[in-house]
Amino acid sequence: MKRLLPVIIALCILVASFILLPKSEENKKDSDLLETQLNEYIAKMKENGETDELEKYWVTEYDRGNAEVDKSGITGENGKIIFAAEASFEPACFAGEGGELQGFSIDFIYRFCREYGYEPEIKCYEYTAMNDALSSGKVDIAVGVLEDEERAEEMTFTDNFIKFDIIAVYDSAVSNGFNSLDELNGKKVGIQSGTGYEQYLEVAIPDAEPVFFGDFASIYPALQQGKIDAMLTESVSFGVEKTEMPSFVAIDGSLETMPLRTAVAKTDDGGTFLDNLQNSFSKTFLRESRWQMFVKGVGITLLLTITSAVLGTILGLLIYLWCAHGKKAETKFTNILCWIMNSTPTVVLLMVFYYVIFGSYTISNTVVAIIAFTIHFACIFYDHIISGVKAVGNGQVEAGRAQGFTQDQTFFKIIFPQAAEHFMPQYQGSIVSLIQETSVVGYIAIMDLTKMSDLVRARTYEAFFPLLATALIYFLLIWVLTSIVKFISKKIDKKNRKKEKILKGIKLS
Amino acid sequence: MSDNKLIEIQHLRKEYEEVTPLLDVNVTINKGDIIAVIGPSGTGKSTLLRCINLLERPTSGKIIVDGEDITDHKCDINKVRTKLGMVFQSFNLYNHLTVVENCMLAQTTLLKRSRQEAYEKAMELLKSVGMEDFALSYPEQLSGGQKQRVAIARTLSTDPEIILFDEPTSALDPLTVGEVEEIIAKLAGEGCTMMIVTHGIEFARSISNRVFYMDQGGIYEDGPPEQVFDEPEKERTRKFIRRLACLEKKLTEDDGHDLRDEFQDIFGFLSNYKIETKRIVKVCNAYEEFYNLVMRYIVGEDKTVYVSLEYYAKEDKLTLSMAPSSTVEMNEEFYEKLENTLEYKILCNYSLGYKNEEADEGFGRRFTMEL
Ligand SMILES: Nc1ncnc2c1ncn2[C@@H]1O[C@H](COP(=O)(O)OP(=O)(O)O)[C@@H](O)[C@H]1O
Ligand SMILES: [Mg+2]
Repeated sequence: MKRLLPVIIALCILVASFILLPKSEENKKDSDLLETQLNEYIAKMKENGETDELEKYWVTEYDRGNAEVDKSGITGENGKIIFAAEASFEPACFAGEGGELQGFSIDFIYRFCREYGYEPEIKCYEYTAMNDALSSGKVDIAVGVLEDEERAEEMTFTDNFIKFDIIAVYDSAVSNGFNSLDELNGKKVGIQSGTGYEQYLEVAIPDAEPVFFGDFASIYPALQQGKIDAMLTESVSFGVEKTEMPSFVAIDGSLETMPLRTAVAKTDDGGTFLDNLQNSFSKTFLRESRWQMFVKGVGITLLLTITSAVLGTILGLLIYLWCAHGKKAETKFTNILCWIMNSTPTVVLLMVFYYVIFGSYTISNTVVAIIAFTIHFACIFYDHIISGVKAVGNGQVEAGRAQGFTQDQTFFKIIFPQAAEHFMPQYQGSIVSLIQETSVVGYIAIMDLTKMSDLVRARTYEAFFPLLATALIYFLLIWVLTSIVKFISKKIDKKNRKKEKILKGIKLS
Repeated sequence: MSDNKLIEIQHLRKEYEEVTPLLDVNVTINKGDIIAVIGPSGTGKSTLLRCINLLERPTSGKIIVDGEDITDHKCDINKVRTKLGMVFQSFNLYNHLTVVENCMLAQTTLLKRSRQEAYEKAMELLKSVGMEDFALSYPEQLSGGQKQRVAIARTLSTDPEIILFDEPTSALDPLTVGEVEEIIAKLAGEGCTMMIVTHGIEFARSISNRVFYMDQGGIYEDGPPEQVFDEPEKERTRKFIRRLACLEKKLTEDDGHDLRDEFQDIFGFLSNYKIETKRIVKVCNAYEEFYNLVMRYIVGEDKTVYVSLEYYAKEDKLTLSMAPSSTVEMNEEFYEKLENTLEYKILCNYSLGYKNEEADEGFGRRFTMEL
């Protein structure tokens, strides 16, 4: 019962935070008015040709580096409105000269505010986080979002203010190219997770294999290195991409035409807390059998953690023995390696392995991640051994050697069991860190628990529930893994043996 | 004689970066030798022992064990080491194993004995060191003396041809020294070949049949204990033996009044010589009176006095001398006054004799009494 206590506490925290986390009431009051004004303004824009002007200026005749939003004439007499726009997405919203925000979304925001006497405050979010920002009441209006059913439960969409096509792109420098979208069947296609483009890919090119990346900056090198055959992007931004990566070629045809809309938070429908909870639960886990995604994610996270921990432990031990048998040079080399591995952030380390070290190999991403984490963990374990051995002291080594044990016998029979006693608590901590660190593998398109929860979040537009559920699952995984490590350390601690075990195979006279 | 040869050391030299403790050691150790290794600290006693089982690799020279040159890189040193037992000052028991497993590990792993055989041998050895009741205890549960007894049993478990003891009792508290020395003495009595580094002169004298006095980068004097301890042939040995039989201290007023520490030292020093407690108590009393007398009537401004206690085992003679720094003029009148003090009169009851002589540089006189 006592062992279940942490689980119970975690559950309480989950429920409590769900109740207590603020759903800002204040903003919701305005949302009906804002919706009306936005629709009104968008209709007007279409009528007087402003929409076309916007598209021409920012997309078709985009003068990169010179295009600028007119930010004059803002009075702010009717108060301040907080907007969410997608960060670093040229030409929709990006930091231009002097860090000033530019782009058609920004342009739209200023035009709208000028018309209605608002003062805009613009916050830039990753695309996936925009939903959360809006549904949690952190912002009043999200600009440049795609409508879909599930999102419509959380927010109210206005009419579109710009349209674009989803297109597929290949790199002519590494690929012979594709003449039509159909040729992408059976190929790997990079997608930014959270965009939901996988749905359109599924319809347009049913046999293509989607590969998810955290952001576009990670998809480009993957395409250039031939890790994927093509990527999906938007027609509006391809012009910009083309100037940076001239060898990229768009395949004729569009997977889907997307109306880019603005959205305001939905007026509270007054459901009880329990209803909300049930609704969130069903959306997160039951709808479209999403629990399967969580199960798969947990599987991958466990696979990465356990494999890397086991292999890393073995490798760390081998490195230690290699150093112990070698001269000073081996130790020096290992120290430098460990120093580099331990001082590099895990994400960076993973990216280096994926894009640099294994850049030109076609190895599965999971294998690359396991290799990276194995070496990373080996370095940590090597340090554990070193500090453990130091704690045991040289006297034990001398006693063993003086009795005639070889260096390896002394290490395995005398030093290591005692060192293990010293480093086991640290080791347990390192396993916990490892499982947490594996959560960055989404960066190289591995679908672990964190990534799966991101995907679910992007589909459900639920901010809290999937996050807290994921946190709880991690908590449980860590609890299980530490219990296993504790069990093992108890097993290997010789002082826990019973008398019968010590005297096994001995007849007492 | 040559059949009896166990270890032959030829031109052994060991250099460290900063010192060269062994310059050129040439010696033969025979079966049945019980060698006490004595000498001032830092003269390479431990180094010599550790070279013999190659815990330290000699810079040059040869060490031949049972006809095999162990300094040769082709030699399987691990095999030879099973024949060379070593007992450390700090015990170094395998802390993760029980007492009996400590005595079994090398047997089963290195000598390939069955667990049953190893266990029986271990228990027999533990019985001989009086530790059989602790067979399933862990080292951390034992006292220092008990640990060292187990360590001796562990060393014996591989049937070594020689045991190298490096100050086996130095880390023990004075009361448990005896129990370990007793076991070593018993082993010596059974004809076990051994080399033992020790500061216990009386112990060394009682068990050894050969003494190495180490100094000047090697074995400075090598002879039977009667020679080395009582009539050393060489100057340095003589000085060392004399110093060993002597407790020297510099006391100032700050240390004074509370003489408990001094008594403890005196106790430790004299118990080395197996002097009975009654006599030691008497020495302590005399010491206190002597000290008070000196401090009250003789000592100068800086209140400093050099004290030395010497024991001459041959004649069973004890002398205590004090050399105070003094500014008083020591004329007839002064001595007369001194002899009339109460302290002096009490002191006379303890003393067997009294001497007053010129002290070493800087100090007026040294007062010596025989106890
Ligand atoms: N591992 C070592 N490295 C450097 N100098 C050492 C080492 N071991 C011993 N020495 C030096 O060698 C000299 C002899 O040491 P040691 O054999 O331990 O003396 P003893 O046992 O007679 O007191 C000392 O000066 C000591 O400082
Ligand atoms: Mg020493």
